[in-house]
Amino acid sequence: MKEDAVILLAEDDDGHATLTRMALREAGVNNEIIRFRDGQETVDFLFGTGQGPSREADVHYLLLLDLRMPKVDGIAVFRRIRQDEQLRRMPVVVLSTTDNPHEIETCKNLHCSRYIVKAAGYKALAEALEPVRLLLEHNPTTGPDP
Amino acid sequence: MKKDTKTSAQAVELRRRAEEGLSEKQRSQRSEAGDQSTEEETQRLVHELQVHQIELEMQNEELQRSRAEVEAILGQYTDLYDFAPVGYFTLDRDGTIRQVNLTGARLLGVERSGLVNRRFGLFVSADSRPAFNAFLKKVLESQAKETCELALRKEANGPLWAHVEAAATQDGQACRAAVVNITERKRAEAEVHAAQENLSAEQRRGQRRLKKVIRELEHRNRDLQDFVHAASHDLRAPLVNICGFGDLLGLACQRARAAVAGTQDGESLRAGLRPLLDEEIPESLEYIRTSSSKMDALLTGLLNVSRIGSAALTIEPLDLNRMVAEVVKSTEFSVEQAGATVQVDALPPCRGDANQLGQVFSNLLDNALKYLDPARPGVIRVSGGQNRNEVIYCVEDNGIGIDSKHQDVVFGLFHRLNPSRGSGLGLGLTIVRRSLDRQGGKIWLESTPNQGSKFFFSLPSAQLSESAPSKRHRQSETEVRR
Repeated sequence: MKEDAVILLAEDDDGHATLTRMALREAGVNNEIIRFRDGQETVDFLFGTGQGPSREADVHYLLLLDLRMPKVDGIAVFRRIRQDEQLRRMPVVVLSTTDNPHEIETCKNLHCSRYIVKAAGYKALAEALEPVRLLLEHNPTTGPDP
Repeated sequence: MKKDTKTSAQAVELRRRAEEGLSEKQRSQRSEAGDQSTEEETQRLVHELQVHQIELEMQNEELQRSRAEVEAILGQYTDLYDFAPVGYFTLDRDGTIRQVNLTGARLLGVERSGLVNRRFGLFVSADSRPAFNAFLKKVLESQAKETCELALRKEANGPLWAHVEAAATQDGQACRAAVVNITERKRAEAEVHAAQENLSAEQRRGQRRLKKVIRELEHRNRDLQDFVHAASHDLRAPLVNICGFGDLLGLACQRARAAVAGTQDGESLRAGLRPLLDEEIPESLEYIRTSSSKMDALLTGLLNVSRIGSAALTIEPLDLNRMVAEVVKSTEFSVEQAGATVQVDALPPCRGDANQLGQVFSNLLDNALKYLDPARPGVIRVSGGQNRNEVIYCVEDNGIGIDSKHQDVVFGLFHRLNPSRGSGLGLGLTIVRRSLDRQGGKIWLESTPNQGSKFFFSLPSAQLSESAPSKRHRQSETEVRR
């Protein structure tokens, strides 16, 4: 078993990905980060459906999931994860640009660990990502039991 | 017998009065003549005869009066019976007509002589006959008066509706029935009934219309909410970059200041500033620049969508052949670039707004061009046909197609299935749908991945005064080739 969980960052916007990566470091999260540019890449990695690298059995992952992505959107990725016997307990932190109540509701029902609204401003973003560090420190291996 | 007693009493009275009349006469004669026995006898006979004579005269008078009376009564009876305002029938147990008054005969439109001894049931319409048979049975069994309504047969002018009231005679061997023509009332009732039906149908139609409007409003409201959410979502995305990288620029400045303040040695200062000036700052600036442009484009796009939704429309009959030819001409360059061919069939006219419909075709063509399959030469075809009160147009391509699970989201705001393919905000189809919606049209699509897509849309058809479009697939091709 690897000791540190690997962070999977599913984010289509290059700027957001860069800022999130930096803000996580700022928040004291030094875990390895793997980034996906859309839902399809994310699914391919998690379920081994693509030609690229895929999930390793003995690694714990935490997924930072942007909702609005091309091809396969975040919610669809989320649903597939919760339907999978091996992945259903993986912690998923949702990153969204809005606090749309409808979206929050959907994510809560899918048992997201956190729903984080992407803050406008670097410091604010780092603060918003604090809970990710706490999640990793406390229990990096298990998410909620859906 | 009562009547006879009366008659003999009258006779006695007559006789008494006759005798009185005679003795009065004799008294006056006696004073003139002397008393003689033979003469007396003669006179007694004469007297007797005279009494008889007067008696007969009086009887005759009385008889004539009686006869006049009887005639008057008969007249009255005839009048009452025959010309009563209701038909009057006497039926025996099996429904045979024994007697009928003239009104009754007129009611059935048959001479009275042609009615008597025939069954009343013959004049009842087939539909009412079971009801009549049951009614007759009931009347004969019960002592009370019964009523029913029957349709009677009459040669002309449809059925005759009758209200019948009947009661059995004392001995139960016959019944008397009064029959009233209620055809007018029935007709009025039917008219009222029809009017009520119409009214409630009208009400139902009104309610249906109202429900439809409410559904439409709800639909639009949801659309609007989705629109606002999508818009705020997509507008915030570049904002996150602008603010975030703006802050990073600030941090870079701090570090640059610190480097300048803390170092005297030019070489190490340069080494400290280089990564900031060469990488971090330009990178942040580039993100801020692209995000600002993105935001500008989004706002312009939103404004376009909003304009499509609010611009005043001029709905009129349109000749689409000319319009589409112009749109195709304006996309000539992109078509050439894509190495594609555009075919335009003869298009039927429709009713719509010229500006907006031009935009609809333009967006659909752009869309088709954007998602052509590089593996084969692109062919885009515009066609149209009449379908009852509407016209249906189709923009068809042989491009990459759309997976069925994405087919209902392509019309959503800022939705882009594949942002790596060309530029665009994901507003083209949103605008198309909104615009068609306002023009009373609908849009839908059929698509097979790797084969192509067909975007169909409907619009109200035009009643153009000029000749209607001839044939659906007459190929008057306006081809634009590279």
